[in-house]
Amino acid sequence: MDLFTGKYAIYIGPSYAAAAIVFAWLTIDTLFRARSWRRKAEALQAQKDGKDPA
Amino acid sequence: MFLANPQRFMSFSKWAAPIFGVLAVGMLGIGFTLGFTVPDDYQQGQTVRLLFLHPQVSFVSMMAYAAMGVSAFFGVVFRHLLADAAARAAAPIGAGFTFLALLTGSFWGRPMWGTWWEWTDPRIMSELVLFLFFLGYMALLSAVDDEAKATRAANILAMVGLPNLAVVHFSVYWWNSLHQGSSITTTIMAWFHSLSGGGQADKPGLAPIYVAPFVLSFFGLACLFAALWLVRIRSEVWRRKAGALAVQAAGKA
Repeated sequence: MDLFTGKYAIYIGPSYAAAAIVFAWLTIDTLFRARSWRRKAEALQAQKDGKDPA
Repeated sequence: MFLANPQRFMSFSKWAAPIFGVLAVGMLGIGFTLGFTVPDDYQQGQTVRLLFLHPQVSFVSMMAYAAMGVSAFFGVVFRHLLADAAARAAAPIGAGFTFLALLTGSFWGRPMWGTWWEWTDPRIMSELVLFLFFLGYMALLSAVDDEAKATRAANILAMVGLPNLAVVHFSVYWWNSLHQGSSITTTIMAWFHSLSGGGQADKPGLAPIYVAPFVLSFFGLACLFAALWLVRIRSEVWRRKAGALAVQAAGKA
């Protein structure tokens, strides 16, 4: 693997690094958002049904 | 439509999203590993590594816009809440992919064309317009307090941007451009041509050694988009449900 060496490493390395950052951010944001709304909806549903959300 | 029912969509996406996620990780892992082990190109040298990232994120950015625009159309015409959720869910993912397409294109353009950016290039400009449509859609959603009105206005904006997809794709054929022709279409056409025993295609596409990492990273990123999109739609469904339950709870109090 020739990731960060060579004449053009200055163009290749940052491109893949930026892609890794964007994909990681999208994945983390997506998963946290989904978990947060699911918990909120479940807590409100439990409250409506008269159950303890815990 | 099978998935138009929210309950069916939730039970389908519950297992489909992780499958797409696993496929994405597997294909991207193998595709990028192969991409960094193939020999350098005789013309482009080591920058050929960007061939396994830039065309793929660009194509997926267009797929994301198509997903957003078509969902927006169904949201406007049929007033379908799941379609609204699908359009809303595609926007941030599409913006991320389009940003990467512009950035990696710039990193590829500097060593190959001698410039980071070219304002007169139709492919770069139409991709920038695509990015602005994504940003405009999200800005419109957050700018209007009434969610129904905001969604409708943003959906109309998304539909207005749909013809730009044709401009992005065909810009390299319609006008003079620094940019090369469509790598993905040419590669797939050449591949089908060889499979059908048609001998050498008019446009030969990629060198055979680059095809596997190219195709794997493309399908890997497409699966990543699918996984993220499904989870974000699920998130939207829960958000709406939480909103509705909160209103009911406030009404009782």
